Amino acid sequence: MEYGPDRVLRLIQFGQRERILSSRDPWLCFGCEMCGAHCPNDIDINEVMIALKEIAGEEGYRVEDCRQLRELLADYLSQRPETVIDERLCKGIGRLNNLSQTINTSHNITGEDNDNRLIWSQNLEHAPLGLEGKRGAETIYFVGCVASFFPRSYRVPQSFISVLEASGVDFTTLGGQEWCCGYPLLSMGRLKEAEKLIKHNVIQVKELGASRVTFACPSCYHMWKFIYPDVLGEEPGIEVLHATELLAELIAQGAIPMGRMDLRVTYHDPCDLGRKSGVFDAPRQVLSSIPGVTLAELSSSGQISECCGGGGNLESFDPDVLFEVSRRRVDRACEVEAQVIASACQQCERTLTSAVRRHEGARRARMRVMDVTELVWKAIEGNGNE
Amino acid sequence: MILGDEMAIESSRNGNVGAVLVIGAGIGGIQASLDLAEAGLKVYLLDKSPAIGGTMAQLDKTFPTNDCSMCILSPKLVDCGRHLNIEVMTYAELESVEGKPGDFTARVRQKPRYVIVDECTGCGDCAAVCPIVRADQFNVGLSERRAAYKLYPQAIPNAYVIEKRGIAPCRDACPTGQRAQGYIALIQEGRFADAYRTIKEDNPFPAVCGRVCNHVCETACSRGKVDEPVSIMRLKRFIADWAFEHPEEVTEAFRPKVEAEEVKLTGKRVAIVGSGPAGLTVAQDLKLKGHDVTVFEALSVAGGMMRVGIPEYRLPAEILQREIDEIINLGIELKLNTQVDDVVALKEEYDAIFVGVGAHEDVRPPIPGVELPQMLSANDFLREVNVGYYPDLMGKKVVVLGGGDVAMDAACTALRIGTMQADERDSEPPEVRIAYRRTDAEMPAQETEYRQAIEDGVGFDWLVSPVEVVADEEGNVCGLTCCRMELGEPDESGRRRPMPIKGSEFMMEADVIISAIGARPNLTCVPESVTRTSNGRQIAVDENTMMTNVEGIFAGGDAVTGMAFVVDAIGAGHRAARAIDAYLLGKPMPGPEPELPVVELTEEEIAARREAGEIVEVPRVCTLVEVAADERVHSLCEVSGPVSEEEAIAEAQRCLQCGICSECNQCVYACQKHCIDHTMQEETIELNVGAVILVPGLETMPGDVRPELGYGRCANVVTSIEFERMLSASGPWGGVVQRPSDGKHPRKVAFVQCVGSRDITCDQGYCSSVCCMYATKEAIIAKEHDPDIEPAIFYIDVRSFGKGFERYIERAEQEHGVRYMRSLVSMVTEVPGTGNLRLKYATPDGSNIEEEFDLVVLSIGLRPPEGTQELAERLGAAVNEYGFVESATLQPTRVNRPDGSVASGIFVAGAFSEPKDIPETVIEASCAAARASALLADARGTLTQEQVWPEEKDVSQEPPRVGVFVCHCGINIGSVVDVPEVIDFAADLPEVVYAEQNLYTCSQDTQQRIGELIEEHNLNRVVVASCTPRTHEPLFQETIRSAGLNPHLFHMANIREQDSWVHRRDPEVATEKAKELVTMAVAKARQLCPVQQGVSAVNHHALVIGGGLAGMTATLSIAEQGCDVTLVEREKELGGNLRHIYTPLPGGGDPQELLQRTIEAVSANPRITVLTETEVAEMGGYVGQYRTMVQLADGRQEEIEHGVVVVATGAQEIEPQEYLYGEHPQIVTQRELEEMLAGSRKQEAGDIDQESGGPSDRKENLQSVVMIQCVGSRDEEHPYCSRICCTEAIKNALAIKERSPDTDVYILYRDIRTFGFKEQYYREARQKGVIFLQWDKDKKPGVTTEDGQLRVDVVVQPEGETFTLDADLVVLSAGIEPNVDNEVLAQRLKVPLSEDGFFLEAHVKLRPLDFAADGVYLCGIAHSPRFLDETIAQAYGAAVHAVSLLTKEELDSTAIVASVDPLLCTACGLCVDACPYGARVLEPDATHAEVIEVLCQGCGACVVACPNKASQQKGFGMGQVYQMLEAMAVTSG
Repeated sequence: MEYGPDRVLRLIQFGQRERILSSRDPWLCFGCEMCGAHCPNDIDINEVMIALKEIAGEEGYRVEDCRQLRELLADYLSQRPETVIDERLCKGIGRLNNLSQTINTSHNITGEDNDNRLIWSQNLEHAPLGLEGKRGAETIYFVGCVASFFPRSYRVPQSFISVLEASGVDFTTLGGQEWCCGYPLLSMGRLKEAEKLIKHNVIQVKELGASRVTFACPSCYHMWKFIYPDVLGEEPGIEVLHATELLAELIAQGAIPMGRMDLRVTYHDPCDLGRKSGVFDAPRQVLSSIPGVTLAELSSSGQISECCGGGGNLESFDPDVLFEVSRRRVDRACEVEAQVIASACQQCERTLTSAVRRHEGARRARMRVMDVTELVWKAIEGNGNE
Repeated sequence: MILGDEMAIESSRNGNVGAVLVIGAGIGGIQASLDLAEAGLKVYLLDKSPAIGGTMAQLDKTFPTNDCSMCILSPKLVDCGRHLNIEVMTYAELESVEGKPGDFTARVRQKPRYVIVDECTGCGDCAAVCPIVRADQFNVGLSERRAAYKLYPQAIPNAYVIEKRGIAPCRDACPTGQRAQGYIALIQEGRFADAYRTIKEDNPFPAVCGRVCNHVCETACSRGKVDEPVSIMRLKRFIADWAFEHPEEVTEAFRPKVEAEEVKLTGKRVAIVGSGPAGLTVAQDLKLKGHDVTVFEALSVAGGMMRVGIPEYRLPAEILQREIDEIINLGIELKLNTQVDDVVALKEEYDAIFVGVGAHEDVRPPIPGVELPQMLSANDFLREVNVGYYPDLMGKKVVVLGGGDVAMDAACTALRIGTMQADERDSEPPEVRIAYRRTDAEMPAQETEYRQAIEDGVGFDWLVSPVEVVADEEGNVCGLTCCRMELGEPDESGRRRPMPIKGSEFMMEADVIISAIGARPNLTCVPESVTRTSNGRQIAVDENTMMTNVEGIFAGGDAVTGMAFVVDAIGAGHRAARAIDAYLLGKPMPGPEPELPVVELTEEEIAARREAGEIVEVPRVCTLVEVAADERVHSLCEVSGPVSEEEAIAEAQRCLQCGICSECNQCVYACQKHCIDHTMQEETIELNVGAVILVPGLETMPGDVRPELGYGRCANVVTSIEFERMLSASGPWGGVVQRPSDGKHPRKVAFVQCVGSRDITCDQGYCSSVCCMYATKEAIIAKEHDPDIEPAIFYIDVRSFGKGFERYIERAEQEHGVRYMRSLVSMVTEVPGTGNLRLKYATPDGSNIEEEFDLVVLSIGLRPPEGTQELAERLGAAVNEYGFVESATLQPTRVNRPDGSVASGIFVAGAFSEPKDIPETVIEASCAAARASALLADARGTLTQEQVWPEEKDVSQEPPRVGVFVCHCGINIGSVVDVPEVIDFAADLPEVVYAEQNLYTCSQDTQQRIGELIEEHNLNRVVVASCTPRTHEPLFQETIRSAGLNPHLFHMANIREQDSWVHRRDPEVATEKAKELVTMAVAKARQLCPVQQGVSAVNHHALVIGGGLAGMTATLSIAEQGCDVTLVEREKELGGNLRHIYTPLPGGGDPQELLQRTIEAVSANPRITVLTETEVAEMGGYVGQYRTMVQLADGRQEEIEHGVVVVATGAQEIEPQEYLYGEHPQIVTQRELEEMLAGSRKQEAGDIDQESGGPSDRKENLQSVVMIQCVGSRDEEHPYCSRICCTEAIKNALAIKERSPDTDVYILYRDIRTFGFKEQYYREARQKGVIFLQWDKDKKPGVTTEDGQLRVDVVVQPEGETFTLDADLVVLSAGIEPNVDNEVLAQRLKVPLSEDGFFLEAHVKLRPLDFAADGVYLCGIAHSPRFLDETIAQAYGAAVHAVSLLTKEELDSTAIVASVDPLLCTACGLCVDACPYGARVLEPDATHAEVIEVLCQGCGACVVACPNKASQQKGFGMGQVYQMLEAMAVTSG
């Protein structure tokens, strides 16, 4: 970042509007809320950053063309001729504009046919009955765009539904009626555009008559749990559970029989699940209840867990930043000699998997990145020690 | 409000109580107590902890002088502990306060200390033997101490305390009250002989109870809540066996450390009928009490049921006999084979009788055939076998009836006897079956016995009841007819009742039948006159005394309870013995045992201890080892095997020590002064007091309040208080700075500020005020300990706002190389494998970096101590949002009530009302004392005592007659120094007429004895060789003074701290050294002369110089406390600087209203004379006797006679010399801004008003106000912080924002110093939009003007960018500077000034209101810049000090003062310069210097300075010292 969160706040205090709006800083925020968690004055910096992006949009600064931006800022630039208008800012904004358009038209982040949302279930040995739109199912699994459309993440929904089936949970998914949860729009300062997605999703769930929704994606979970009630102006009246919370509950009931897996596992807290939603214990409970698993904590974990690099819309806005951040996270895992980095987020899994591939130490140590649901499913299958 | 002390006036009408309760004995409580006691009030000083001293005692050094905290505190502790009118109540808590101001009743809960505090000598023998290890909270858990401990080495009272939570459940459950946790703790330490002694304390039969007990202790054991109970019985067995194998070590353990007194024989005779566990316990106990005991036993062997009821294979007779012999060998007469026919008849010969005849008579089933010869009773059978008569059982079918332990014993014994017979004759073993009418689930036998019986091969028939014993034609038993049973409804025992099934009779083959269905006492020897129990089968007794209805006849054991366990009988025996002893000595009979609290470990505690890693699940180590079943049935060998040492220790380590103190009694054995009492109970004490002062101090925030900073997660992250202990020489590592994880010396040490301060996310919205300074101090001291240390302090603002603080920070940075980083650390993680810490923070250029450190110290904030809320509630005081007691606005130390009114008679001081430093605490303590002293002025002296002494003997004409007393100090001296040898030696020294040794010379009885010996031997000099004169010299001086000798005819030799403790391993050297020390002491004693204290009269009038807020307040307080006072002010009007302060603080409190009310109160008080336009012209005299010439308004001079002076001359606002001040009308100071805001500047600043048409209009027009801080502060000319300017600026900024929210207000600052709750104003200002811009010292803002428009350029940090602000008004926050004529007044008063020109107090920490010279006091901003409330507190404090002196009739000078020999003195004047107290005078034209004794403090500086040896110090004359040296030179050859 050019200024960093503290100085961005000071620029706001001093009223230096053009200076902030011509900077990439708000767009480079992962929204991981690490700084906010440490602020002794209790400032929610992520909210500030989102607001800045929103203002940028409202005031016409969200432009894809540098020349255009320079024109907009002409007065300011004459006072501060040394100001650099960064090409990357406008390019990044272009990519984000595309993303928001895709979401608005296709109702998912990739632009694929939304009816293909359950494509990942096709190569399952057997797909459970009623996987899509089963009326009266107690639980709905809200899969999320990344897990639905990114082949490298298919393992997450595949494992999770296998576990759900093995434990006798009565569940279904929304299939093609699942729309993007709205998270990418929120973090680019366009929450207003997400309203129709949000209403649609809630209506769909209610129509099927389920009493609770579960998510393997912490961002979808965070949206449903904390943002949906704000946007709707009321509690949707549906229980919202992250997959790890559901698994912890099932394990406590003894519903999940697991085999032994001798593994040294470290758990990486996803920002949206841990710091931002307060779920720290459930994933740890799940991991420690797998026979043979030794849980090693990273030197920064829990409340002070650093972002994997996949937060915000950085993957779209500026992928280079992502790599540096995720490498540091893998360094931490190497310090504790973990064989597996477990996460409870398909985005963390993707980011960290790429980082492990580029990280020499981790590669040498044959470190693997897995979702908690995958580990549980492996333990059920009993072939953990392959 | 100062005037609000209307109670002072009210009090004269009421019957006020002349006593004050001070709660909290930290430095604040101590100061308040000393002030009050000196002012003639009785003080109760209460503290929760076992010693006074508070947090200050934990500190290593103090800023900004780096004085050792303990060194400056300790004299105050001693003063307090010794003060005749201060009652120190430690280990006590306030329960309630009721009543009205002037007359409260306080209830105080005194926790049991288990050590008699007045008797304890602090020797530490108890702690040396205590087996319980605890984390030492004084060292913040960094080291360990024992359950018997002294809080810290210099603790006052100098007494130990035993930390006990209550009776351990194991002890509570046991009928004998066995201290199981005690001996288990000792086993854990490998102290087996000590453990044996502990067991024997309660149980004379450990070898028995280690084998055959029902161990209810294990059922109760807290460990059972974790995994399995501790194997207590097996541990007892181990110790009993070990003791038998190590008789010498056992004898040694029991040997008293000092010759014990012989037990006095009473001549009373006791008969004991029955030698079972009850009888023998009684016999032992009574024999040890000196009674004459005879035991009658009907059988040929002693031991009762233990001997004849328990089979050999469970309790070998030989082992039992050992324990019986131990009792008999005490000198008890045992008459075997002696049947007593009538126990009552024994009364003719004996003074008391104990009946313990047991329960040996059978209960037989009521069926036909029970009289047949092969129908045996289990009792008879076992008795016969145990004395060696074996019935023939080989090959027989044996049926045992019953399901209890006795049935199991009978069956297994029968099996063994028959098998042994078969082995011998190579024949068939018997077949043994147990027939029981219910099922195994209802069987009362112990689990182990049942299991062993099955293993042995005993058969079981359930639900079978005998109907008839069947005989063959020869009349021998051949079978047993039985019927089958079924279980019905539960009966009264809770077990299902067996019901016969009709027609189910069948015949069981049997050759021998043994009935084991119960036994009862045989009471044929007990006549009917002795009442029986309601069922008629047992003897009825009183449960407390065990006495029957016949006086002098006692009973216990099975004879009273029916069949029970050995421990029940032992317990009854102890109870009976206690009562019999009382009966025999004619003492009142004992009542019920006190109900002491029993420890119950909660699940939460267990969970917490698990979490902390203190409890790790480990199953029993000491499991039962048994001889294999197929082997053991062939003999009567003992079944259960021994326990190994390793197993025993490992098992003992499983004990959770839930009672904390284990009551092992080792301390009782060790304490030679017999001052340990484990039976102490909590008491409630009622105190009648006139006022209450709350000074409970502070608590530090927990280290993990900010999880990202790593405390608790990383071993080398410590809190500042932990680091303080790490630095302390008395700390865990003797002052060596090392890392907790690996003991490595750290090089890079980071201090992180504001941890739990200025942080609203953990509800700590205030600044803790002291952390910047203590972190700097810790950094400097750490560097002094180890120059390689590189300290770095991470901070937000450096808040060095106190006197001398700014220079301290500067020295830290420049001389000591402390690195200050303006950045907060966002995360601390451990670098795996190294213990090093990675700190993540932002640098000034905005980049995030990670830096590695070896050690991190978190500067944790302060908060009110735990329980504060409740304490406040009990007193009806309001607390603020952070839990601090709310003090009233501008009325420091007065307390708000929850309804907003101000409380009367209850005062608060110190960090309990707001975080603050030591001097402010001390000032407030004095302020609170002043308020209480005013309230109780009419009761002054009503409850205080004065020591009265007998008339002093004149011994000046007598030759010296020296008495020498050498102390053993228990074993502290006596075990190292050969005291008798020292005595022999001392007796031969010249002029020694008497010498003796004492166990404790300081004990009460020895004090009396010394007095008698002075009389008897006509002693006129006394020498005591014992411990330190620091604590004990005054005591001995009092002793000889009570015997009519001058106290200075005493001398002391320290042969403990300076001898036996340091030469512990070399007794010979120690003894020689002791002789030398005694020789020197005697040599000096022979030269001692009486020293008389000088006294001088006191004029009761006070003079206050300066009529500002400080001076007026001090004047009022002195008057309210009942003394007359003259106030001198050089201006025309009273009020000083207060007249220029207008804006109220955001929290309320109008300065102008305060001014008006104060002036009115001063004018209205008849004790006050105000002289305005008056200046001090000349001063003469000294403390108690001043004469001051003043120059009055009309030019006349007048002399005032007074006893004390209060200096309150104030200071002034600096006139800015920069920022174009004076060159532009829109540039003003904060004071001028206030005047503008108040609308009172109209007349004075006409130029501004002309432009804008009046001040109110102007304000509306202001678009932008820029305030510049540190104008004339923290610069080269004024290198100090003016303390108040940040808050003033914020106060005025808020006032502007209040009136005109759209006005931009900028505050350009270097560090914002809003300490304490003022931080809230800073936050409020930011919330209201005041912009704070920080600049660097070397890049000052620039003020320029162009066409009348003001412009301020500022280089903003940390960005380093220049901002230009257009300003409508520039406000300069000008600092405060001392009055220029301070120097003149200082010379007149002979008091010093600081390097900045303010008055310099006696000690910056502990004597902030006094000067080194007595009688002159200081308050207000003449001392240093202060806020209004701080000034008021100072004024009150100075007033109470003045009043303490004024209310005395005369002043005693220190006895040890200097004197001048006029013949030797050449009047050179060197001594006058050397004297720091102004006690030396050399009048012009005098031929020699003189000493004003009342001012002399006996420091000796003049003696050293004098070139002619004309100056001498009384009590340390040259001759005396030379004699000492010579004596030592002679003895050491």
